[in-house]
Amino acid sequence: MIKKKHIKLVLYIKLGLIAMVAIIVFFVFNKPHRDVAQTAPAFSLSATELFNNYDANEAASNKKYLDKVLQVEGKVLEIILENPAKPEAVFTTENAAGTVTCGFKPEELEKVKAIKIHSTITIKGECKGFNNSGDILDLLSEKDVLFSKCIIIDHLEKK
Amino acid sequence: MMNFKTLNLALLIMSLFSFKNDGGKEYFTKTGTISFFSSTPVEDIAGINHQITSAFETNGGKMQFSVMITAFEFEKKMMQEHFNENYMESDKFPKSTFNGQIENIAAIDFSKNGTYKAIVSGDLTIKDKTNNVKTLGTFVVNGESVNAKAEFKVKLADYNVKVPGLVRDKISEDILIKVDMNYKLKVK
Repeated sequence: MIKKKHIKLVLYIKLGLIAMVAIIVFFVFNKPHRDVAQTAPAFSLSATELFNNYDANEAASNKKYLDKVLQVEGKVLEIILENPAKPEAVFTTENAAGTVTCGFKPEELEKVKAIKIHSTITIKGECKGFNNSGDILDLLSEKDVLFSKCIIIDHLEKK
Repeated sequence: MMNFKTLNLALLIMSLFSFKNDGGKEYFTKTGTISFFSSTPVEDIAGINHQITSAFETNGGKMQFSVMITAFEFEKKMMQEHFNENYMESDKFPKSTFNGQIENIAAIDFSKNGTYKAIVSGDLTIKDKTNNVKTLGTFVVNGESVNAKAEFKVKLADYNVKVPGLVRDKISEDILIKVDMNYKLKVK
């Protein structure tokens, strides 16, 4: 009798362990994407500052910024709405060599549409690195720091 | 009076020459889409990147793409991490490029709306490997916009993409890449 009970108990423990492992594996496989809105920015800086850092040293900047959530303030040069899945705002920099481009979530479309050209805005988003293929691609010579999953933090009209 | 006429003639000739030498038109986009799909018995893996930079010239047909590998998005964060860390090593190779040409550019009339077949070939660089690729695409000319679509397959082994042994038989050797670009005439 006692032996039977003992076997049953071991069986239950085993089943419990298997279930726990399954649940852990499930959550690891399905861990959610980072919520940019809920993530504190690793760095907060201006579009010019960020661009100059990348232009000076791409490898070091990638170590510091790549795939991190950054908060960036910049003056809007252009709004790009050609792809509804990824509305974009392009920041000018004080460096003539290039720009900082922010790709927004599709949910931000209406807000992006409302951005005025030449206004200064602050965004938060994931830094995706430095698009600088100009050395091989002469048609794409403009350098660009790319952002994805951006949200608008602040929208200031500056004269 | 004579001088004025000569000047006019000179201006006319000059304007004709400058028209001839304008180098054709250039089309550009920063929000092109490239996606890929791989079916495995466990689950389908699909990545999509809406932030492709690309341009082409109507004169000569030069066509170029610059792709930030890190900007591919996946349904699951886990897939995105594996893609960047294990397969593409995007910290070491953050960009992929295509440098090629539209071979039959003369057959596409950019001043006339319509659908045209385009043969595109050139050097595709992924990670530290460059291979020549060629594909047939479709160009739809609509006013100052051109939509370009193409599909082609790449072999993972051709680009040094190593699949870990555990999942080697689950990930297909060939990956189908879909390209969908909305170009706008570039104002020079």
